[in-house]
Amino acid sequence: MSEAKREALLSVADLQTYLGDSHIIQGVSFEVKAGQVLALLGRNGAGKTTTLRSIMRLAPPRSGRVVFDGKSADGLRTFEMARLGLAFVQETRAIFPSLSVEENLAIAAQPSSHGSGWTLERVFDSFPNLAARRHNGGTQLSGGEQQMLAIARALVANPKMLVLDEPSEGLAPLIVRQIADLLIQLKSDGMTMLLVEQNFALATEVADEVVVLGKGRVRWTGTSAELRAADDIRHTWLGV
Amino acid sequence: MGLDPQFIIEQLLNSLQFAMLLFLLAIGLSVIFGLMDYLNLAHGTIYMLAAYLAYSIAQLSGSFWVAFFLAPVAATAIGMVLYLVLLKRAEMETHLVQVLLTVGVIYAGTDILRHIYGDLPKGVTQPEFFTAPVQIFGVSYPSYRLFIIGLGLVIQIGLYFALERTRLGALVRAGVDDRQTVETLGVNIGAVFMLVFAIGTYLAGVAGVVAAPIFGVYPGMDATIIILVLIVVVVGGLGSLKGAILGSLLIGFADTFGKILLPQFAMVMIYLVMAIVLIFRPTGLLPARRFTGAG
Repeated sequence: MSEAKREALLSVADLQTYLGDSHIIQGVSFEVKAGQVLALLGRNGAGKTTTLRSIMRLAPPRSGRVVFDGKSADGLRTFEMARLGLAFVQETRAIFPSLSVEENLAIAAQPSSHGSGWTLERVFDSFPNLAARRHNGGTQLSGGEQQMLAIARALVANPKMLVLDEPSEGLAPLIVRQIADLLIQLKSDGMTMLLVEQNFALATEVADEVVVLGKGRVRWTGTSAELRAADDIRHTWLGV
Repeated sequence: MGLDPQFIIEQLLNSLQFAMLLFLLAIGLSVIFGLMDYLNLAHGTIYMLAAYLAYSIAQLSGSFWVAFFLAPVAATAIGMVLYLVLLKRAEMETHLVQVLLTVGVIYAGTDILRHIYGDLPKGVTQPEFFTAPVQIFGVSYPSYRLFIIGLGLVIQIGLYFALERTRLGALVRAGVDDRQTVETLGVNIGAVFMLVFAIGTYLAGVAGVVAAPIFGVYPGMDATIIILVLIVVVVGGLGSLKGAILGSLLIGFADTFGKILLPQFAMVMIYLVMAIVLIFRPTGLLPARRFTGAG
């Protein structure tokens, strides 16, 4: 299937978001096609997390249009966005400390619309560390295990799209490698992803397309390979 | 006044019985706050409303048990209408707004009930089945009070299993931790909260009905107990079942024995317990994790 024929699963048009009086997102637009991985890159404070929170309606935009799977996000609540098929892995991982590993997964689990979905059993097969700690409290895990649990919790909802906010943040290189391998595996399984990252190497390895944000606006759009070659863009907006 | 062992046993049982009443009120207040940061002082009004409804239903039906089953349900129905029409509006407001609104409900509720029933206390007869005292630990103790202790225990065990072993319970615990994240998992936390609000309101209604034969039904009975219930929640820690159980036991015992040992300073005893707990555990004894942080 060629890129041009694929439909946009998520389209964001002229997003404008304020936090209090601060105009954080100043007209951001992009599209994520089904099966594609799109990375949002940018420095701290560029508006990456706020863009994701706007899409999830945790920070509802003042104006602009978000359409997911053909449905407008206007007026929807966060849980309704999730039910449309968006699973959000937050920067903080947001593991529930009062719940066991298994409960963290169980409350998110949704039956798959197609045959080969994610179940708790499949998660425990794929993540032996989580299986060994299934009855432990959610926050007794290491940082890497918490990140795996956060991604697994998103997967058992059997979403149409994963939204990941800095999954590699604060993790040791070995763990970052595991996360990258997992994301590449998910991509080859056909999972659509919107990925926010500070780790340039990881992002460009996983993503097909990159949107560079700076000061609340889109500064550059292109493929991962093009961004690696675009020295000026990287220096100006990413500092790498 | 003698402090013989029999007297002590009797007072221990009285403490336990009062602790159960406090618990039935505290658990709703605590979890409603834990889940949505909603400070619902009108929780006591439901207690009073259920007591009055129990009085009316017992009068009409001639049976305590009809009142026992119907009055909390009726009080919950009225409580939910109150929530949907009025209290819900303050959900996203500050605690001060919530306090002002729910204190207004206390005043309005008291005046409405006073208008209907008058100023004089009303009595609700104990159920016939529990009129005879029973022998326990060598003392003759009112069986109706034992019934309250037993009922409280059954409800505590039931709530424990509901919270720890069911999906709804896991959602409530997760919601107390971080309700926004629960929403990102596709769960309508508002609906979960409404259900928790209804259960808490129902339990406050049960407390009102079972308290009626012991304390009588009178305008202002809510204000008397809600202060103690707030202390229970603060001492026990916000948002947790174990905290509500422990807090209600401590305050139940402090209240009962304070009245015996230092009759002139009964309330001082309770505040002393609260002060000591808060000096060493500023967030209470067993709060939900979200409230354990920098206290």
